[in-house]
Amino acid sequence: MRLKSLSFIVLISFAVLIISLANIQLNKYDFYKQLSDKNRIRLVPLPAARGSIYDRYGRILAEDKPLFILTLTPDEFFRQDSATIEQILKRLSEISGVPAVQIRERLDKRKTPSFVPVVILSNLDKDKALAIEGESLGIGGLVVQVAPRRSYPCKDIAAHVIGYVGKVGPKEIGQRKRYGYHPPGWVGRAGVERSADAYLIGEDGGRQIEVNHLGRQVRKLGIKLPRRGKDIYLTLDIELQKVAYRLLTRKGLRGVIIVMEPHTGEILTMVSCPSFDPNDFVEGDRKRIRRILHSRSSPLLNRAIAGLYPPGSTFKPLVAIAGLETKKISPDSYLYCSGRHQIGNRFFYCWKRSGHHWLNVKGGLAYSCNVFFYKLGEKLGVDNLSKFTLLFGLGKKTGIDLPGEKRGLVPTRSWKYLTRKERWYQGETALFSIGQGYILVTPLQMARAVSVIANGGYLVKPRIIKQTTHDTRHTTEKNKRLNISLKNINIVRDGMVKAVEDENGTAHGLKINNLNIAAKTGTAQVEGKEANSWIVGFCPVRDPEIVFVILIEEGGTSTRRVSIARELVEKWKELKNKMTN
Amino acid sequence: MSQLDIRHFGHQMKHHFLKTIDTPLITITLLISVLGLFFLKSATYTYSTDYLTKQTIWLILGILVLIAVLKIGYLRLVELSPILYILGLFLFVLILLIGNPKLGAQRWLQFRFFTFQPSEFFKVVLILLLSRYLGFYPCSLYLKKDELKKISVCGCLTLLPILLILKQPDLGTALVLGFIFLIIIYVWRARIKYIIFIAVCGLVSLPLFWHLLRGYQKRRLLVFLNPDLDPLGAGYTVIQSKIAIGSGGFLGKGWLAGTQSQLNFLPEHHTDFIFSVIGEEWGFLGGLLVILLYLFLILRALRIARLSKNRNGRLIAAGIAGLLLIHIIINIGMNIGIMPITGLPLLLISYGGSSLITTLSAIGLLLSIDRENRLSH
Repeated sequence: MRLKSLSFIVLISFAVLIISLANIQLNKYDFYKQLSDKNRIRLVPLPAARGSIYDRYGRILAEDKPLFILTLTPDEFFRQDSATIEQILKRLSEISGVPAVQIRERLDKRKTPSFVPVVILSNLDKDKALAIEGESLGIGGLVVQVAPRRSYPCKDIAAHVIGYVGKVGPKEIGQRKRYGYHPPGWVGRAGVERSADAYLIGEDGGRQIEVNHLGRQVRKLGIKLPRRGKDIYLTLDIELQKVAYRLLTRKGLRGVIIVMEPHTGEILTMVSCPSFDPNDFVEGDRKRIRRILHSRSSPLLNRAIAGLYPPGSTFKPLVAIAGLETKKISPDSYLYCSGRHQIGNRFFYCWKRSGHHWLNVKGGLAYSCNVFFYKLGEKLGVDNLSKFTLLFGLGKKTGIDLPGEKRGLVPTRSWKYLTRKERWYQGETALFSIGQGYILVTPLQMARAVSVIANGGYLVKPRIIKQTTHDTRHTTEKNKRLNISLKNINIVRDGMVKAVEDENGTAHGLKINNLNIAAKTGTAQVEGKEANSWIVGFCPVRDPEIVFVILIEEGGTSTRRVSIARELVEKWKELKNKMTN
Repeated sequence: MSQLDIRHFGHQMKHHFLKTIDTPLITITLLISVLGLFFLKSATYTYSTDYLTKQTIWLILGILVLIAVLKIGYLRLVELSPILYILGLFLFVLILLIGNPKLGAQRWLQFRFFTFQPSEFFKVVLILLLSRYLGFYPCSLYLKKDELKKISVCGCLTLLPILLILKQPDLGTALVLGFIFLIIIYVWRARIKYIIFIAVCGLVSLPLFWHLLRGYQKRRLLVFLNPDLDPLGAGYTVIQSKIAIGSGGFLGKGWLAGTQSQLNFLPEHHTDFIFSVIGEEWGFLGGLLVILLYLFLILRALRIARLSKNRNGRLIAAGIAGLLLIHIIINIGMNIGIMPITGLPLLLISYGGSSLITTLSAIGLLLSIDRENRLSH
């Protein structure tokens, strides 16, 4: 019984199959026939060029250059008699310098169907390409194609900001290709190339040809020109970037230099050393790429946004503002520095062992007195310190349009409890108030925090992309005014000016005639290593045009590194005068 | 016994052996396989890999396996089935741990010269195991309680490999195993209401499996509902396959002359989508021929089931008929766009050693059951 009914089910399902098959092949034959004819129209892709990247003055940072590729279609090539084939191979090897045997081998060992062109030479120069093109008119299957190839004329100078492109890997295509996707050839892998990939990428075009079932061209039908990607203008000033880069590389230093406009957040310079040459990734030079990837000084890391450091004494202006805002001190409060400060049974020392004696907040900043800030920190307590630190944008991403930004770390009482299962100790408050201990910041976060002091209380969003060809919407964004009184900001600002102007100020080496500069140095201890040196500041003091942040890994005492900041500011002034003239 | 008698006896033996082989079944099987080689040639002759030679070697190996199964006899394999089952589960776990993530799904074990796909063989192993467990007696001899118990044990034995296979994830094979289970308890004469209940449960629990599927599998299923959802992506294959078959018309474009398949518009056209090559190049007549050959094969398997006096044999033969049925319906169905793409091969024709050898060993089982029928006459 059951088996009989099963046979019945089988018959029914097969009847359905046959009817559906008949429906497609007999009933809708015309419809599908037409579609199949359309399918014989083949699209030969014409890759689109990627948009260029320019600096703020329109100087080129990244562009696609034409690259000449020689391809052979085996199907057509091998239809010729063997004498001609040998002759062509010989001629090709003469022009290219590749042995004929090798070219032959590449044709024989191909893994694609015979109608798909095989790349014989991928890096022809223009003259050779023209020579081959001129001779190849009569030769079957030989085609010189032009494909765009990314090039970065500034090489390693702005590599971290610009980024680089890479071929879409076989893993990424994998499944998509199997079911018919035609994936874009190049994608941005880092920097602006990655964050603005959607703008830069173009729209591939193609030539339409009709082919027979062997894939041979019957006739040309049409052409769709590729559409170039959109151009992008960065906020960078590549000349200033060059200067900054030289300042670091000249002495073989590792570190960061950031120059930013305090009112707009536009970044004029962002240097991270050591750097790398993005062209290596485009050319696919394995040996060099491996060297970059395995280098112990991690050149791929953009230290400006992903390097985490304790801010050291450059943190003190923030503590000063916290003290003034919470009214724990007034501008005229004096605290005494004896060279050391006792908390519990432990002594915390000032960098100047003989002590600074009586100081007010301006003096505390100018001479970078530790004891002054230990005492101020004690008055504030850790909760106020954490609150103001977060207010200045530390401990969270700045939101700059670059991939891979780090958050950093602002310690709080609850953070300590959650991660270490320990209560907060007084001594840690002391370390916190001089920018040591748990706190970690990126140089870009510091640039933003210093901007708050420079621009009178606005927390700006740092920007690296000035505008795209069609879109200028970025520039209209409003910045948030922090709830900090201008009066208090000006007091801290005066303290930072005093650090430069006063003969004993820690940044006195930055004093330049005709230019008012406010600055703060910092020597941040790192366990087991030489201290990192920081110099942050802005100028001119009245209506600041730039904020600068310099960080030198294992740079030692920061006062000795002030000359770098000095040269940077002088060069900036020089370049600015040149641009306005 | 005189010398004459002995000679007479020997003659009878020979006569007997030929009579014990179901000639139509083996003829149809070989006919489909050889036709398959022709289609494969057409599907792959522009490729640089020599699939044709490989498949021929698999075919010869498969015939040897078929003969071996026939010699061993299905009853001995039934006895072995628990060991094979455990071995199969072990291999699935092994694949999940070290498998070769080919095309996003891990179904293969990679050896030096070939890749081995245990889920193919497991289909037959499950048929053997379920038949063994349900045993000699038809369902009607059991109490209702025992019937339920037997069904649930069978259900668990089926569900366990299904879960492991879905994890790979291989939707097609999981579906086949579930279908085999249903067919076997159906032929065992379990109460219809139970079968319907289980089938409904299976359908209802499908959404639970949804999250086990990979993105591309979900896309393929969604695209089945609406191919125009993503005409260049997941819907591409269905559309191109329908164009290939539809444009074949009544007589086809001729062997090796299909534009759709030869121009590589169709991915996978030597494996899951080989029917579209048949449809395009041999037309409706070729497609009909292939479908009718399969129909004959399945009806023959059901006939063997009907004639079998042995409950084991009956269940196995029916299970194999179900195995053939679901593969053919789903594969041809997805080629002509009335079934979702689930990655089941067209048995005996699609390129692939594991599948071919499994099918031939299943045919060997059928022959072995049939031989017993004939001998008992």
